Amino acid sequence: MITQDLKNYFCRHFLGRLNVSSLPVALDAPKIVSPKRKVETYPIRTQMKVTGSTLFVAGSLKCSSNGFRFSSSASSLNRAVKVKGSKIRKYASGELKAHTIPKIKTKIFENTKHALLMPQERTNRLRWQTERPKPNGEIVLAWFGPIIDEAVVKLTLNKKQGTLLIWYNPQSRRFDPKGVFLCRRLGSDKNFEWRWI
Amino acid sequence: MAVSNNSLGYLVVDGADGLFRGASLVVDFRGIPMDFRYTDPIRPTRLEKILYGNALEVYLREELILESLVGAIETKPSIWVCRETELLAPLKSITRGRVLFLAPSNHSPLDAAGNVETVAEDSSYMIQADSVSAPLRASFPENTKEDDVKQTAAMLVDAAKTMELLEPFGRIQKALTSLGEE
Repeated sequence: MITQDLKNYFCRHFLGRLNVSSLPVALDAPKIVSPKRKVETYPIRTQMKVTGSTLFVAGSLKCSSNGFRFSSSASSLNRAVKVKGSKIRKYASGELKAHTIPKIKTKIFENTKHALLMPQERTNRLRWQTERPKPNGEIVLAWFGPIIDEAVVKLTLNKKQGTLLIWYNPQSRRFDPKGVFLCRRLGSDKNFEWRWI
Repeated sequence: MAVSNNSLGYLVVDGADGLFRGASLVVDFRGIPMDFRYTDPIRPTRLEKILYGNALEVYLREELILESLVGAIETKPSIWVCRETELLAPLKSITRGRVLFLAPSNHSPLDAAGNVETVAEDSSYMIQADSVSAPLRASFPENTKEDDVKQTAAMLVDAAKTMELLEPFGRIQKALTSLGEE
């Protein structure tokens, strides 16, 4: 500042010059303020945040698509789906064992002795038998046949089924068939009577 | 294999409740057993059911049980009798002998023992084997000649004089039950 003052002094005395300064004439542009009012809105209720779909809440609807399935235990989308497994191993030829299913088989047992011990069974064929005995004081209850009476070892009446059980002697060579009527004598202590014909 | 002229062979193949088993009983004309054989019960596994598919039952009944039984019998009967029409054709091809299906009927008696009547509806026959029962319903394998039918019927009439023709089926069933319980 002092240097400027000295410079001005010597310029006026030795060079006759005056330092002329100018002031700007133009005024600053007026500040324009808009009369329009700005409306600010503030929500009264609290802001909602969505953290996940309700579809994946535990126990809710199961979602699946083309084999992909979210387990019902996955609570939200944010939970990562676990993938289990390992890298597929390449097997060398012959390394894998091939199992064969055995063909279905059965055993045959021979037991003719058991069959020989079983009785033959004759049903009551009285309704087909036209030639019936007509004894006095008796009623015919049943007719069983044909029976090879000379080959018979044992006869038993199956009262429950109404059938006659016959045990034959397998060594017998007799082939003469007969039939047996089962009769009941009325008014007698002896209830049943067998009558061979 | 010995051949017995006066004998009947009865065959039963059962597949109830998925359990397959079979038995054969050869009897003389009095019904006295000459040969009795039976198979192990077979229950196919789930894998076998898948692998064999629809052919499983046919394979078990016809190839496995029937063929094994007939092959094991030492006394060859003059007639084979079965109670399933499905077994007629395989039984004929295995035994190459006389084969027929026999079942009871409610048909009214024919005129006399030995009479044979054709049933038009299912090409089966009614055979009056004796005079003291209803005629029996009989079926024969395809292409069986009329003469063979008559000869077989005559043999059945002969057997029915000394035995009840269908009775051995009941005995087989009882034998299988008692052997299964042992």
